[in-house]
Amino acid sequence: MTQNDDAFDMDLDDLFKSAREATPEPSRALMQSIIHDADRVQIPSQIDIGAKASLFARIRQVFEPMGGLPALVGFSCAAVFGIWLGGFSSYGENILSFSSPEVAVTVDFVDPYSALDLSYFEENT
Amino acid sequence: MAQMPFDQYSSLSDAELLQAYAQGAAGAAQVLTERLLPRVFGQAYRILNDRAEAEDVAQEAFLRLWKIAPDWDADRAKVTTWVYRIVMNLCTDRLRKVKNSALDDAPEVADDGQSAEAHLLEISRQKALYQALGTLPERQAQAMSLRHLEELSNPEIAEIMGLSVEAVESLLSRGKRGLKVALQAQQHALGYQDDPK
Repeated sequence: MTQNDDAFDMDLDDLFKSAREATPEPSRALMQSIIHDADRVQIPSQIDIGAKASLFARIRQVFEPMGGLPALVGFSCAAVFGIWLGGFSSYGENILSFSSPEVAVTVDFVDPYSALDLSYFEENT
Repeated sequence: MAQMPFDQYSSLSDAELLQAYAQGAAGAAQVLTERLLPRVFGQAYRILNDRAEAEDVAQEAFLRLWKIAPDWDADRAKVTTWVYRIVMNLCTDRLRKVKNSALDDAPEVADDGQSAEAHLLEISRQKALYQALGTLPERQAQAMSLRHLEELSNPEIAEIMGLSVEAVESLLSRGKRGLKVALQAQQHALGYQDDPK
């Protein structure tokens, strides 16, 4: 190596140039691996997009044998009414109270023949 | 994203190709890989001096690129700048793990028909260069490598390294002095003779 700065610069440029030229080309296998990675990373996002786009179509497909869109609307209304009934309606509570064990017990003790006294038969014989 | 004929991807910029890839365009990744891989692999190879390691780094850098593609902000950075930075960081991590072994081996010189003596001299020169680079502080070596091996401009190096242009110039100046000192000790290996004083 020379002591002169200009000469050193030239030598250094020469060294770096040789190093650049000595770099091998990337292999075809590496290229294929990278493209394979790209496909692998890309596919899930495409599936996500496809899934979102076809969500409504799949719901329609489920309800098609059951009557299609009218059935879907009916089912939705019934579901909403059920939720309202169970969660928010006081009317629902009254309906449910009819089937409560307390009321059922009371009904069991009512004698449907209470007015049918034996004395009635005795008086009419 | 409408599918484009494969050759039309060639006219797109790196950022446009990345966007096309993120939108599901088939073929965009291949064009971008063919465009960037020689530089990415070359940078990794020249830093690590090991083909297998360089291939691992290149593959990892591209994998990160594919993953970031949906969130890519073209206004924030150039794709090449981002990739250079990733490769530099990945190589630095690997060199720290194998600090004393990676720089001992010079890269293989392509056999271009030169004589055995010239071939050996070429290997010696490159080995001397990489060993000299290995003696520099990490940031100086990175700056010197990006400037003289990757042939990037000082503003590009500043962006990659997250420094000001002035700081890069300072690193390059000190790096050059450091290389001079390191290479002077290996004049004979380099095939140079002392100048008569």
